[in-house]
Amino acid sequence: MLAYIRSSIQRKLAFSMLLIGMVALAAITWVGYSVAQKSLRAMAVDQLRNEAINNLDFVNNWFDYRWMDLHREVNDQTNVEFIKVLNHFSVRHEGPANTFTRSVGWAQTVTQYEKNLLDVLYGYDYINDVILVDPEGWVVYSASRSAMLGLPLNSETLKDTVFSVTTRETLASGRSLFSDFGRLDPQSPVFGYLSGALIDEQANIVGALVIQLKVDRITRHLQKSRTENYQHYLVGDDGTLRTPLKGGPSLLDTPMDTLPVISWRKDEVATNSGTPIESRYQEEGRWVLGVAQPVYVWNVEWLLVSEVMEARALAPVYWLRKVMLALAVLTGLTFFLVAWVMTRSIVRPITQLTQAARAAASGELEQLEGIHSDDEVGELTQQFNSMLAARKEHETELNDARLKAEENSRAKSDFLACMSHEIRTPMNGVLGMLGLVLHSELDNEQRRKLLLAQSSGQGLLRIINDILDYSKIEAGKMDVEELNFGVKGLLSEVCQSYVVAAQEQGLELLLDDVEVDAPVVTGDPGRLRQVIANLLSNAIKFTSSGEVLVRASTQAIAGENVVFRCEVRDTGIGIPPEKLEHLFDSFSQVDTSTTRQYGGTGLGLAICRQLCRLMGGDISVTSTEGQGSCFTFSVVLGVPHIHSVDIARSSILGLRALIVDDNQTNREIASNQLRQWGIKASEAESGQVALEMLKEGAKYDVTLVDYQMPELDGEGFAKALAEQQLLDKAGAMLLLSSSMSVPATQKLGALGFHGCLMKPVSSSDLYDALTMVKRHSGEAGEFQFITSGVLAQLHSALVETGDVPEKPFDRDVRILIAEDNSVNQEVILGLLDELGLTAIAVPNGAQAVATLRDSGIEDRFDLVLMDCQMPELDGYEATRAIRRGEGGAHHRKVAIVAMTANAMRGDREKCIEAGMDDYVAKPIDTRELLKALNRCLGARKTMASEEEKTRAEPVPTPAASQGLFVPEGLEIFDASKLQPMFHKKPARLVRVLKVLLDELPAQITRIGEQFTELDAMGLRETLHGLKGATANVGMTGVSAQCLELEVALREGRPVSESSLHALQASLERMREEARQLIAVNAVH
Amino acid sequence: MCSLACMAQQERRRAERWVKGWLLSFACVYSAFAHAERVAVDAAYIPLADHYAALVAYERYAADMEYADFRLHRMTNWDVLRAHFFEGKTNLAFAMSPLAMDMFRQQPDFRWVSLMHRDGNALAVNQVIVDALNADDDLQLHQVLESAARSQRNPLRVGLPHLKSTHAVVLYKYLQDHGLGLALSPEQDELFLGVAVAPPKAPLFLHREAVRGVPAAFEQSLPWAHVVESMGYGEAAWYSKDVLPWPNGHVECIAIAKDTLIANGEPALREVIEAIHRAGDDIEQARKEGGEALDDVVRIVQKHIPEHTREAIIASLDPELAVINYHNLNLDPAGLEFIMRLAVEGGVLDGPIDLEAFADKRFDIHLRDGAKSGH
Repeated sequence: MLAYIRSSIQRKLAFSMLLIGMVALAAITWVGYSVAQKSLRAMAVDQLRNEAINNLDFVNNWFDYRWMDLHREVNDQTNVEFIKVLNHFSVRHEGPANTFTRSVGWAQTVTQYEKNLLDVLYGYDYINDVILVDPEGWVVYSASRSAMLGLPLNSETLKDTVFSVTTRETLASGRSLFSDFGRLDPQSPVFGYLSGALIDEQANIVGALVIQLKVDRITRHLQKSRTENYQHYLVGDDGTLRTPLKGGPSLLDTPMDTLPVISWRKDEVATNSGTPIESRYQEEGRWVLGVAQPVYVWNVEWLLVSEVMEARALAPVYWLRKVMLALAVLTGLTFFLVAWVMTRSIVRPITQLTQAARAAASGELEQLEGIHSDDEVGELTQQFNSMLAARKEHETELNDARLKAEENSRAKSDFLACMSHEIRTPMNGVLGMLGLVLHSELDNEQRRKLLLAQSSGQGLLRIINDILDYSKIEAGKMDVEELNFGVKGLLSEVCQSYVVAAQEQGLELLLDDVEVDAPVVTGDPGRLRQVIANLLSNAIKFTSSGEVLVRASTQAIAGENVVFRCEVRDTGIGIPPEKLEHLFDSFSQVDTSTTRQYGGTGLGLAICRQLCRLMGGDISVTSTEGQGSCFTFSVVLGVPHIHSVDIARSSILGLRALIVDDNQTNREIASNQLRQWGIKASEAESGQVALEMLKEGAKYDVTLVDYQMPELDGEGFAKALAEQQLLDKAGAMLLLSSSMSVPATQKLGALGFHGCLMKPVSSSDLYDALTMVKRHSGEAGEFQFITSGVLAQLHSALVETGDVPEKPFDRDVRILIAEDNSVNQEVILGLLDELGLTAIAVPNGAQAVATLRDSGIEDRFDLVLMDCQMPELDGYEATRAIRRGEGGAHHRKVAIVAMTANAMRGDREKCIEAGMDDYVAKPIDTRELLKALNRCLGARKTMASEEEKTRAEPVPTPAASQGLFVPEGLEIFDASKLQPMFHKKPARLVRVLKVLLDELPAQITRIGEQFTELDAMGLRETLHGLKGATANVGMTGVSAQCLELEVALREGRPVSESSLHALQASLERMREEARQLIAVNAVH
Repeated sequence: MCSLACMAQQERRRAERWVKGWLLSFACVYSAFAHAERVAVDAAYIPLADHYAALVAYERYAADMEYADFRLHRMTNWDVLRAHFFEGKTNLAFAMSPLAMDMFRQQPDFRWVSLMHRDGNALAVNQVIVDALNADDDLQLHQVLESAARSQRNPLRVGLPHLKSTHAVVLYKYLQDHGLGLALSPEQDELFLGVAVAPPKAPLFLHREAVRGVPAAFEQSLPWAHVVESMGYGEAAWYSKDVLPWPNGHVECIAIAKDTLIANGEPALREVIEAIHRAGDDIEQARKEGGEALDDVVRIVQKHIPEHTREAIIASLDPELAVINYHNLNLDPAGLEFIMRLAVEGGVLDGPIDLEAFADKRFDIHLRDGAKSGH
């Protein structure tokens, strides 16, 4: 609150004035209230005292007259005569004494004498009875014929009553007495008794006359004098009430415990002083002003108490207090409001100035208006506006400059993008031509120079690509794809691509993906590959000796995501600490000197950081100069709802393994990995050590042998084992090499090796290799030598396992194929023929729509197999046209099955959205196609007759390939990957291969042109088509290369000339193998 | 000097005196003997119209009574009557029913043997109240009484023959019917206070208060209300038969007889009760016939109660008003219970009594023309 007030001048002024005003008002109010309170209290006490005196006078006066009444009656000789006659008859009464009042003598006497007493009884409203008591103490007369008539004073009913006590005393002493108030029995009303002696002429006491008094008169008087605020009551010497009190105990009951009563009973109230005693005390928690004074009624002493509740007596004061308080608050509020308004008029311009200043700070430089004052504030406003005007002018200049700078920057970016593109085009030309020249006849010097030129060109292309990426990132145009991919595969692939480079520098390239728990993730593999490759490239570049370790891990986080962490650690030159801070900044390099040893644009790490951040992570570095660096990055990847294929068919649990490697890191990685799988791993840092271990009797199921070891390399180790007949103890041996110059597989097999894997070996490859070793251990016969290629095939074969659907179709089913690639057309036609279906093929979507439109209802098509990427009209648009009815109303609902080689996430949704019914991926698998046909042609499907069933060929399995002659030594062709449609159909394969060969030259030319023209999109489509066509006919060597290049293009990675040359070489090889296949199978 | 003739004359006179003396002595002895055979029935009564039947019975039938030596004892007031009866100076008394029941509560040595009449009392108001009533025709009596009571500091006093009288019960019922209360003791805080006023003094009680300008009233047996009217002291405001309507008329004065009399002189008592019933019929007949019959009743009444004027007696027996009746004088337990309930409720009676024990139905009389009958 205080801070709130302090934060505003207006509030400070207003609250200060309010505080001052309120203090003054409070003081005045308090003084006035105190004076009024004292005055009123004094007035209340005065009034109380006056009323008390009046009441006292009344009580005394009233009882004085009752004294006179009594004495008139006791002195009346008629009454004396009356009692004497009664005494006379009483003495002569023969019956029991208590029956005297029923006697004739009594009745006659009463008749004769009672008139006087009846007049007294009925003449005074405060007299309830007039009683005569004879000297013996018998009640011989009651004017109101009360129940005590005929009873003696010492009877049970009367003996302890105030009536009896007083009357007996009067009879004994002759004195006139007042009995005090009392009851004859607990239920009877309260009465007082005045007793006087009846004395005859001889001064003998002949009886007593008792007047029974009602207390109403006293009570009524005290109640009458009681106002709303004041109350008066009489208290007897026993402390109990003699007159009723509202809310108090009943008469003659519980003693009052108020201060004056207690004091009086303790004789603390001065008697006969004549001055009421004032006191202030609490009753039931409320303050009471009281006045007390004794009252003497003949022989009885009472205390007359007059009270007033202080709160009621001072009610006017309290009312005054409320009013004064309200007035004070009202005045304070008024004061506050006035102060508020006044201070506001002062502060408002200041506030406006403040707001204007704040607005100016945020860039709003509007002139402050509305303040028309000639005082200091006006002057301040004027100066402020002048300042704003000056700033506005200045900012306009700055803004113009900024816009110009931005325009320049944009122009620079555009220029960079344009230039990079423009440079890439001739660079590709240069590189392409260099490649072509390199394939021509050259002498060594020419080849060396051209290779240097090619290397320089490739380096320049990388720089240009970096600049292009940087430009994209700067422009915010960098997109991140979401594809499913295997992390371990990617890591392995990237590392493999740098094996040669590492080897050239004599570095050990290590991969530790043990902690990667998510085999398949969702993300942008291209960008991830780019980051890893950049770091790996740098690590190799800046490391002259030692090793480069790539260590990756995944960690599950919320939302079905994983954090992928990867560190690239080298033993290179390291980075000075002062350079670390700006290492990831653009154009930042550790060595910026003109004589620097290592080249580079300085954009690579900046791009890495941007890419990591785009993928939800970041990158950091730790380094020790001279010892090496460690770059660590993390990205967030998704986890798709697919299950990885478990290729393990046998358990490797319990195997014993020996790791022979001179590199400790390598041993640790391998050892950790093996232990994680439950394998007991032993390590040997050299071949000699391993030999010693084996000699000492150790026996292993498998031995992992590094190829490049000092002194005794892998080959030598194997030979030594053979010489020392320790091969059995070593178990299955797997050679791990980071060198491309390993001996041929035949030779390695002869040396006793069961396989050879290129380093760095991914955990999955190692697992697969171990699984194969385990599976074939103890089997007789020829053992399949394990290589990376074999493992890849094994993986593919296992993935494609599944039941083959069988659903023969009605032969009247008509199918239209829209496929621009003629090879693919042939393949699909062949597949359908296998299923007993005929089809018509058209090269694009437009012709497909036209064909549908031209066919009537009778010969309408039941299904369309629609390629998605076609010239003129692609599959999506063609489908939409068909659904719109452009293919005829009768084809509006024709079943359309998409065929696409994209196999990317979202493709299926895209197809369904376009109106297609189903989806099969290229290369088309017979089973998948059959499933799709079954789903879409369910209504047209007819049950084949038993005869047809018996004649129907079983759908061939990949293993069944009888009827096809495959020449020896084919590298590209893989019979196991041949589409089932070609099994036992060599003629069909021949026909398709011929089509493929016919189109191959054009394809090769197109690839060259598109590469030269940097038509990445076109090249990608060509490769895409070639991939599908070659895969269909089992040319897996080519299709794999096409796939790799297509992926690289899709991920924006540069496609090297050499890779294209490799493809071209493979195509040439494929052409040769295709010719051989055609020749062999055509003859047959 | 005295001659022989003179001496003979003296002798003759002496003989005559002797004979007369003997005759007188014989007559006295005979008379005494004859009376000694009948049971003395000494009845205490109050000079009120309530007890006219007893007077007529005595005058007309006592001489012929075979078993009863029926004698009347006039009492000055109810307390004296009660004292006489309690002391056994009379063995038959005519008492107001509440008083009789109160006596029974104190000394239950007697039984209820007959009614003396039904209805028969009235409220008389003095001229102050009459003037107030006449001043506003819209005002009812109870409104005037209430207004008068509230206008004075003390309760308005209403004279009653006794605080334990049927009259107090009737007055209580009247006031209760109009939402008013009756106090019978000064300690009770009500607008109206019943005070004991001897019936003969009641007219002057009204008049004295009227002279002072004080409103006053009394509830007394007849003929005192009519006496007030005849003397111009006020007016009869209502009759008890209108306040306490009951078949044949409400119970009022009853005859109570000592147990000793019932035990020793049942025939005599029945003879007296029958005579009273018969006398009641006689009065009813006379008031109906008027003329000499009524004159004879007036003569009998005035012989015993000379202060009852002829006019008052005739007014009391006015057949048209029929404010009192002497028919159906047999016990009426339901009627008495009705009175008792009201009496207890109004504080007239301290508590109820056992009416079964109180009533002796052996003395119910069924008169036939010219013949006596009993149970």
